[in-house]
Amino acid sequence: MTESEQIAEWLAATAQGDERAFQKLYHATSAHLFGLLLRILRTEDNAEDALQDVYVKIWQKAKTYEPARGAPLSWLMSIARYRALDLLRRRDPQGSMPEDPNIEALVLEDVHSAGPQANSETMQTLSAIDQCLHALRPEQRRGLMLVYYEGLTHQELAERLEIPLGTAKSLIRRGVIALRECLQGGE
Amino acid sequence: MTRETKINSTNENNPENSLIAAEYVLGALDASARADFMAKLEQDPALRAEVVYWEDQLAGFGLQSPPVTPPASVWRGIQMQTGVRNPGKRKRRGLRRWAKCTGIAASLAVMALVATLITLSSEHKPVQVVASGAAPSAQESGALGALPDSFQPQPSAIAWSTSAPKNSLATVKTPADHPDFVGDLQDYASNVGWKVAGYNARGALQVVATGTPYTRLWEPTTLELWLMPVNAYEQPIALGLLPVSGERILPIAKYVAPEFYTDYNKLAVSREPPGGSKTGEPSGEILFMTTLKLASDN
Repeated sequence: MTESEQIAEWLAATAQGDERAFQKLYHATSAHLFGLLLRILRTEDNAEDALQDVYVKIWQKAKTYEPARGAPLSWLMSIARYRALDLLRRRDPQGSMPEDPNIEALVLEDVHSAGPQANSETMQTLSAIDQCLHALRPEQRRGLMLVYYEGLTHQELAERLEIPLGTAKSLIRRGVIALRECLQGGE
Repeated sequence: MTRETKINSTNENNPENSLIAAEYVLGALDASARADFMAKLEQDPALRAEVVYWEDQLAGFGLQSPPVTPPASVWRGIQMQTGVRNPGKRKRRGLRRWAKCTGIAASLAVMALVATLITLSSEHKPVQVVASGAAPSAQESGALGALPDSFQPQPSAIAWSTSAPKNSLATVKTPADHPDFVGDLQDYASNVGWKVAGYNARGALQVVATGTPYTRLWEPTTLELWLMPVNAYEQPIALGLLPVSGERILPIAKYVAPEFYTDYNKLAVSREPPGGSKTGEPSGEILFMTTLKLASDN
């Protein structure tokens, strides 16, 4: 059974109220979600509170997952990230977080930074996205990372990078197009 | 994300939709554009598929963050909110620890109450213990008071006295009097929340309702404040009932002395029957939870 199949099975059991499956799902996936939440929210307290919210939601909404929604870990990561962005926007609706000086370092991290908890399937995913990120122009890569990890809108990205709004939009769009071409080319 | 579950972009004939879907998933759209997109999303299955495609692809960005094992307290909080238990795990030990813990807590509560009563009776002028003129019965019945926009310790709310013993609620509050720990219980969607500040030496926990009175959402009900353990086998400690509005001072004795922070580091709010939980632990739904912040951390 692959990692995705196992997570999907736990999700299906969780949807039926299986507490043991939910516990296994938590222990298998929470480190990935917590790592992402820490990266976005920056403090352990905020990330812990958000992680708790996320798994309560997963417990309540597990039945809404279906394979057509994508890989189960992707679905879980999306729930966590949307929650983090929601918290960022509620707490600072007008502004945005200060730029993390390590944002470029993060992008350029070797895929092995995923650590021992990442299995071969996760490593495969990381490798694909890593290759495509490195294929982007540096400014596109930086723009996408700022938007993804800091929840910046086009306008906020323009202010952060001190560039016109149109240039910021173009930067993201060109980055997205290049990323899509690369990802679909690797299938 | 994975090979066998790879989702394909379905909007290749409509690249604009695919781009906006990517921008939506990334979070780049401003509030207005996001609302417009979400309205279209409900009507357009192809657009929803495009969102799923990008969520699946961009999850790889998130996996670039190294995994970090969360503390055990997170799972405990999830259990409290969902009712999920560790099947058969340490049940007997948990009960013994709970009995021991609540026994100590009860003793400390009695000591604090006695100390307070002794102090109050020895003062020339009685001090106000439950502050802001809001008696528990009035607060629990839904009486509305002035709602502070932001929390500031209120010197006038507690009639502190310089001559009072340390464990008393009665001491003078000075500008240099800072809380030893704080907690922020907020629901940003409903604007219901409380600011909590603890003063260890005085055995006082100041709780200030900061937004919409909770009875507008959950009437009739009583909300109880709990100190939550780090380890799942420890039991929560009841701190008292929350005010609907205004401020309330709760006695905490030494529950939250510094050495406790390592074992009990979260506050939680549960929905309870009138007068509070009858079981010694949260018996209703956990509505809020937050981590205590030490003043020394600021």
